[in-house]
Amino acid sequence: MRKEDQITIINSTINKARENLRPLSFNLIFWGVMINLMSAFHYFFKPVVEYSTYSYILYWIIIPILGMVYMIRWNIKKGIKRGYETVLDRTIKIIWAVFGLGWIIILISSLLIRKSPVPQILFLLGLVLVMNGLIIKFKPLTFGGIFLFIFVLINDTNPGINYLIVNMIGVTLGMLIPGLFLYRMKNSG
Amino acid sequence: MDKTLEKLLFNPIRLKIISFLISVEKANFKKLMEITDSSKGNVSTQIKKLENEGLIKINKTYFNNYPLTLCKITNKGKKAFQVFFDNLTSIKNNGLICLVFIVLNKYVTACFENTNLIFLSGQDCAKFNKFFTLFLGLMSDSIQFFYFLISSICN
Repeated sequence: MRKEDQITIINSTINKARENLRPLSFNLIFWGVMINLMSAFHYFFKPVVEYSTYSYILYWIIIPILGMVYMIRWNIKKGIKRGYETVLDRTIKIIWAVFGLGWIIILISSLLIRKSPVPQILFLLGLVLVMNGLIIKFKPLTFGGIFLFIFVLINDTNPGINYLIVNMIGVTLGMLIPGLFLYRMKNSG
Repeated sequence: MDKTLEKLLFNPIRLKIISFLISVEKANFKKLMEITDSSKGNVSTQIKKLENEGLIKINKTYFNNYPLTLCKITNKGKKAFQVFFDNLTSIKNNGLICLVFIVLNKYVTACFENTNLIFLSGQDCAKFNKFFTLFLGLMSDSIQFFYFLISSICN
């Protein structure tokens, strides 16, 4: 084998390891739709969700945890089907794992101090989205994260505001719309 | 460069495996089969050889009761590939430099053949130009020779 052939093999093989951001877009859309549906259900069927002191807490803990389990399994399956993991995939995976851990800590601490966890979760989500947007160089995602920061600020300055509405608008602007943009962009190549 | 490494990566399947693993964090066996366009047995033999040399790490696990083989390049593998690739590209660069020298040589020769730098009369001028051109050609060839001598010693 000639040296030129070896260089050609190396170049063509390295080019086969492409970044694939479609799973990330599906994750964003999934969580965007899920949080919106949960918030809408809570808003329109308040007596059902807030039936007892702990019912709404269970509602906001059990369903997202089930969603997390489903998405973790889905991501693992997709990863195996794809056959490889790049450094970028690993970075994004670690960032979202840290977000999951942060989400659990915020939930536990808010339960202990009896305060709504929505502003803290939105702030953490904003941070993660800005980081993701900057890493994958995708502006809608970065702006989505910035929108969430603005919503946290609005939340802090207006204590009487409905958290469910804030949640719905924030998640739509921060996750659902950037997720759809990312999905469309990756589909159109 | 290490002769064992050169011999190991001379095989196109092993070279493809190591080139793919250098650009990703980890890859499974099925993907390596797809990348190398080879059979299960062949890929299995090649990855074992690479693992024996410490260039890659093989991790065997299960997912949904199905066996899953994951391959990852080691630090030794990364360094070895870097050395191998640097060696390949330096040869390529040497080729380019050689081409530049040849072109320069021809250009200088052509220039001095057509130009009278020193205005001497008659036959002396023609003789001088001929020797001067020969001298320049010899100088240029000598530079090439010494460049390759030094670069081959350094590599």
